[in-house]
Amino acid sequence: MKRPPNFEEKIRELASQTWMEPNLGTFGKVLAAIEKRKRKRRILFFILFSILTGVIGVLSWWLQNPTISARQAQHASGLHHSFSFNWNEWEKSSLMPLQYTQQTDASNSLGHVIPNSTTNANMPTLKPNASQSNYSTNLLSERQHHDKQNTDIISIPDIETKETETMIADSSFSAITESFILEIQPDSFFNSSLQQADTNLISLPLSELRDTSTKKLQSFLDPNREKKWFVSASFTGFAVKSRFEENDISSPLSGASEPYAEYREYYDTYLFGFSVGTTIGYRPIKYFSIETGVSYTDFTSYEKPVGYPIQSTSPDAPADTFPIYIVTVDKHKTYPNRFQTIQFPLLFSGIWPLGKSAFHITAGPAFSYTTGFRGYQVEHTGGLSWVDKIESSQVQRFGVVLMGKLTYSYQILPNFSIYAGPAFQYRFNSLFGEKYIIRQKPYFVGAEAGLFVHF
Amino acid sequence: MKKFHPDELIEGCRKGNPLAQSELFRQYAPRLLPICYRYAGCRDTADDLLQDSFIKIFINIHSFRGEGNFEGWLKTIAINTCITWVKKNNKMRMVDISVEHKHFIETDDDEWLWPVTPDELTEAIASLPEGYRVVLNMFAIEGFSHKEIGDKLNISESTSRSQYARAKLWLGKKIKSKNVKYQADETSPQF
Repeated sequence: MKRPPNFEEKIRELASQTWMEPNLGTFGKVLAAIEKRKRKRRILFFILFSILTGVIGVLSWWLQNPTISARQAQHASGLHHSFSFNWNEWEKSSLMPLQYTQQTDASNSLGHVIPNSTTNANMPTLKPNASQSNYSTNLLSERQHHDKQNTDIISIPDIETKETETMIADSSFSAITESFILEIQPDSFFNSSLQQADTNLISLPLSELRDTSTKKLQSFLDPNREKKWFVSASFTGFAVKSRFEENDISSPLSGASEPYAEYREYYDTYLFGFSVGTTIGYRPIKYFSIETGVSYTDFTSYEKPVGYPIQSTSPDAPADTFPIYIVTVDKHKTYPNRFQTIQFPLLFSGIWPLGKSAFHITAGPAFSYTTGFRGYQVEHTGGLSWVDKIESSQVQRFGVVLMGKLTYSYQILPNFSIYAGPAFQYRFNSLFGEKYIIRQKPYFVGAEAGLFVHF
Repeated sequence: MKKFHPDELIEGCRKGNPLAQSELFRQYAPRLLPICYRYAGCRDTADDLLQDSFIKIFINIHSFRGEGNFEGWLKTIAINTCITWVKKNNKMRMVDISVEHKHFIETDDDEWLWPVTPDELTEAIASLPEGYRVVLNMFAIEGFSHKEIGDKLNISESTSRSQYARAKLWLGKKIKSKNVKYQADETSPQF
């Protein structure tokens, strides 16, 4: 005998048979929520893109800069505590016509740093060059202004005048570098030590390194070496084929059998337009700028209705594809919709200077206001279609646009640069109001050219 | 209206095809809404929960690999959405069953429940107090154990048991009163 179902089984069975019709608007709310979520992700992407642009700008500066900072030099060489230089001793010794005759290797007669025989053979042999001689001379004159009683910290090793008349880096230096022995002849003392400084940054005086680093930092932060402010004028032309969609949701109230989206029409759209604008910008550092301004955009989208899916009653019919057909006497005609907008961009640029020229990666939002509109729409009733004018009240006047461009600029005069490059725009919200059945978020791909005036 | 094969439907939703999404909603929303209604207890909240469920479904549909029952996967999302809503809104007001009521747990007087239509049962469950309703749904319909219910709702296992026992009693009273009414109304009572 079959066991009768217990309470849980019975209630489960009944629950599985329950059927409730959802509210008509729920599906629309679901789609709207998903769209909102997508929009948030796009905005997040834009913010991250802007941050990335800034980071690339800063990184590019560091990558271009071959000099390490004073702190890095100290850290790398560990010389801060090890090498103090006594000016008195140095002067005394340097004024003496010392004969440093003892050499361990012919190749170090000019004071080269040579690899210790016990160390890594891959360590570089550093040689002086003529351009560094001036540097050492200048440095020498600077040093002579120092109080001779003072002891300055430099990064060359303790120099000991030994009876062997060979100046060898002390043990601490050797311990740190573990591979270098410094041999110096008097007339090439600076040539040797300071050339090493410029070459491997181990021997550069830390005070000098600090100065260098500070100057670098100042040049990075201080825009006086570049012009702080600039204005720009631009012209952008764009042409792109896109598609917009038109929802037609039947309602049970209107007698339709299906309470959800019945069909969705698509229209191929060809956009042609131009934009002129002017901005004023500020360049707080050499590799980054921020600019804002105003631009006027005029574009016309030529629409060609391509139909909507109609399910065939034949079971052998292939799955419907777009486009199918449109029953209209106006079939394949195009209808121009013209938009005129004013945009207020806020743009951030990462700049990669290359002498007189530079690459600019620019992105940012623009707030758009539609000032003029003229449009047409294909209407359908009973298998017939006709063209009707779209009311301007259906237009969503305010919009947010993402702008981006990659441009190359060239300085033709001290204060003038010209630039050109590809440009991109995407509008986050539809050109039409939420309640209107057409949803169109155009994107533009084009080219921009303009000029910068620095002041 | 385009007819979708079930696999096509899932694939279309993965690609964000609004027609496929619309079809999925049309097919499955009527089955998921009762779940939401049983947990929410009112129609407006149930619609909100259904909406949240479908948002999660459309966003996470790529994670459905085609293994297992698709409807079961949808129902799991709806149930989890409802449980999350219950916890988030701190809806659970649990009262431990007193000693004198413990005999109800062992009482097997389920006969009063039948016959009852699915809609009547849904209405009766939806009218239960919050704590009873949630535990009854989870234990009797979704098949969670009391330990699992305790873990999910942050209550003790005994609390879950007591809530369930009270829910059964309450549900019995509801349906009994309705059936008595039926008996009075109809010439041939159902039992």
